[in-house]
Amino acid sequence: MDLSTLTYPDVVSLAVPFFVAAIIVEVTWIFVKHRGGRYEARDAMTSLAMGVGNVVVGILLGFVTYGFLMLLWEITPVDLGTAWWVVALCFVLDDLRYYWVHRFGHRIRWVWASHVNHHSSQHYNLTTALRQTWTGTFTFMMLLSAPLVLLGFHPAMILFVGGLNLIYQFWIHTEAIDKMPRWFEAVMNTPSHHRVHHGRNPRYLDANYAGVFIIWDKLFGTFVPEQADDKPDYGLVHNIGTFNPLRVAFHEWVAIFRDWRQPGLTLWDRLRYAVMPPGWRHDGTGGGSERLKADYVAKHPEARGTPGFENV
Amino acid sequence: MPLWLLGTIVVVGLAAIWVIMRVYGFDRSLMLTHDIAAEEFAIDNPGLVPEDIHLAKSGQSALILAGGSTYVLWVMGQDVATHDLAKAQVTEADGGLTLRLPDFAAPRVTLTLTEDEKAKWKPMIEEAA
Repeated sequence: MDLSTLTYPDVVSLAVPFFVAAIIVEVTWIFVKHRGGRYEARDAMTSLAMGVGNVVVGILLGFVTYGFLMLLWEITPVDLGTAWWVVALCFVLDDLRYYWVHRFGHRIRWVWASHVNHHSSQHYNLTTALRQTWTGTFTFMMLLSAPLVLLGFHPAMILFVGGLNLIYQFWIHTEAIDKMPRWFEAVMNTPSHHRVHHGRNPRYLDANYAGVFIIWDKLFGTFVPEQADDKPDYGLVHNIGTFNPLRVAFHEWVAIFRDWRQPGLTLWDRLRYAVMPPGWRHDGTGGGSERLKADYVAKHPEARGTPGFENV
Repeated sequence: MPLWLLGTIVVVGLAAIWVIMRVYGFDRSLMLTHDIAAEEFAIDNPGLVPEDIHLAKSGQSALILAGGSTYVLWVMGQDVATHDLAKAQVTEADGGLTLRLPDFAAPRVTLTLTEDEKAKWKPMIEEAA
C-alpha cells in the first residue's frame, strides 16, 4: 500500500473552538455555583499563552519529529495499513508510549525541564490542560515513538492518535467533576485520577502518569486513588513566582545549566544533574519525592502503608 | 483549519475568557493574614516551620524566619510564592522595596510597604543576604 501521502485531520486545531467554549462554561459554572474549582485571571492567561506557544512551536519544529519518524518508516519492512482496527490498536499502544514518556518526564530532570511548566500552575482547571511545553522537541522523547513506526504504524497515524490523546486529556483537568461511574474510573483516566497526578501532597508525588487508560498505572505500580481526607494541593513542590510564559517555559532548563556551571563538579555529577530525578543534588542535600514521602511518614506514622506510601 | 481562522478563534477566545474572568472578579488578589502566610509557607517549604512572621500592612507580602534563614513570601494572584533571601539584593522603590533574586523564574520582586516597614525590612533583608 502506498502511504507516502497519508494524511489525517489536525484534530487538535479542530478542537480549539471546543476548548474555548468549555473553558467559558467551566469558569461560569464555578462563578455561579461557588464550587467546582478556582480560576485566577493571570494564572489562566499564562496557561493559555503556553498553549498558544505550544501550537506555534509545533508548527515551527514539528518537522523534526515527523522527519525522524518518516526516516524510520522508510526503513521498516512492516506496514500495517490504515484499517480502523489498526488505528484503534495504534491509539492504545501510543497511550502506553505516552505513559512512559510522561513517567520519564517526572523522573528524568532533562525531560522534566520540558514538562515542569504543565505543573507550574497552582490551579487545576481546563486552562491548566493547555499549559503545554514549548521545549518537548529537545527532550528527544520522540525516540519512544520509534517502536510504533518499526511495528508498521504510519507516522501520520501516530501523530493523529497522539492528538486524540491530548484532546481526551483536556476534560480531565477539572475539579467540577467529582467521580465518574466505577467501571469508567477502573479503566479510564478521569478528573479524580488526574487531580492526584497534579497534587503536590507527598502522597500524590510521582503517581498516575496515564494519558487515556489508567490501567497502565495499575499495571506498573504507580496508581494512587484520590483520598477524601487528603485533598490535592496543586502546583510544584516549591512553586515558581512568575506568570511570565517565557520564564515558565525555560526556568528549569536555566536551572540545569546553572547547576552544570557549579565549580568543582565531576563530569559524572554534571551528567547526573540532567538525568537524575528532579531535586537531586550532588552533595546529597536535595529533596526528591522519595525523601519528601519519607519525611512525611516520619511525621505521620499512621500514613505508612496507605495509598501513595506503600513503599516508604 | 486555515491558520488565519485558527488565529482569529484563539485571539477572540482568549480575549473573551479574560473579560469574563474580570467580570466574575477572578482577578482579585489574596490578602494575607499571619495564619495564611504561615500555612502557605509551610506547604511551599516542606520541613520548615515559620518561627517569626512580619506581615506587610498591604497584605501582599511577608518576611518569614525559619530554620535559621529569612524568607520572603509574596502574593501571586490567589496564591503565593516564597524564596529564601540568601544572595538577594534589595533597593528602595516608590512605595516599597525591590528584591533581586538569583532565580530565573523570579529575578525581581517588588514589595509594597509603608515607610516604617521599609525602614524595618531593608536591614533584615540585607542581613539575610
